[in-house]
Amino acid sequence: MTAGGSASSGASPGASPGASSGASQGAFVRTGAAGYRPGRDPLWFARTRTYTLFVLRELTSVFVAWSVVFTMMLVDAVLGGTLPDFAALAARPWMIAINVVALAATVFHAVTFLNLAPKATVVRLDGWRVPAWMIQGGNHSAWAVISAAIAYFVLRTP
Amino acid sequence: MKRTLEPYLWLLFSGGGVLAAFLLPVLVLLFGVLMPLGVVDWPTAEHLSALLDNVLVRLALLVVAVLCLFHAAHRIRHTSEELLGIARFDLVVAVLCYGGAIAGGVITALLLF
Repeated sequence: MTAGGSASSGASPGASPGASSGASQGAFVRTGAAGYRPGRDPLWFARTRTYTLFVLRELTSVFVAWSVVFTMMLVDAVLGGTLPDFAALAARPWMIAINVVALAATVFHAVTFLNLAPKATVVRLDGWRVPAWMIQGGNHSAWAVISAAIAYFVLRTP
Repeated sequence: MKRTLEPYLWLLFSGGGVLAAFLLPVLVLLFGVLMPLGVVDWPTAEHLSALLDNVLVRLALLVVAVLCLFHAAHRIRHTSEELLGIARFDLVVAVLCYGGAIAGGVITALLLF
């Protein structure tokens, strides 16, 4: 659809020939892209399951940021010698509630993000394409190993 | 072709996404859920501060924090624009999101070093 395409569709009263420009065509009935602008659906993310899951996945990022903040509060408490205060704060019911949601969100993020890897990177060995499930399996195994290692170093008693 | 920052922002986004996936769930599970609920005992402050004494641990924490914050900033930028229909204000939203990530990174660096 070209702008100004309706200039030849008839002489409107008072329109001087040769003076037609995009701005002077308000009296014409416009069709096509320029004429029809659907309103924005403010609830588009609630219309289908796919959209809802997409938005939920995107919103995990809020809890990724929160988890970083929470970890840095812990680091601050450890370095500042206020770990008992931090433990008391973390034990408040609303704080536990936030962190349960944060746990669910970060796990959802981890599953979806690690499953995405074979779509972003195609690995070929000697021309043989490593199948997606192997890359995803490798990612999830690495996730398990890293998590176990962190838990070990945090929880081991010297 | 016009050079833009976007590819680098996507790089930070995916790097942060991988680190967040590998590291954050276990940290939240331990310190945010299991220890506060009493399922697992809190480690002593000496033990945790001995872990943080290692400069490599602190460097790793800084890298993780910065990349995860950039990951979050990138997603929050695009999601808020789509969810709230404020894509017109992309520049403002982007400055706020990445600015927050940079500020968080600076605070983390000051905290750790």
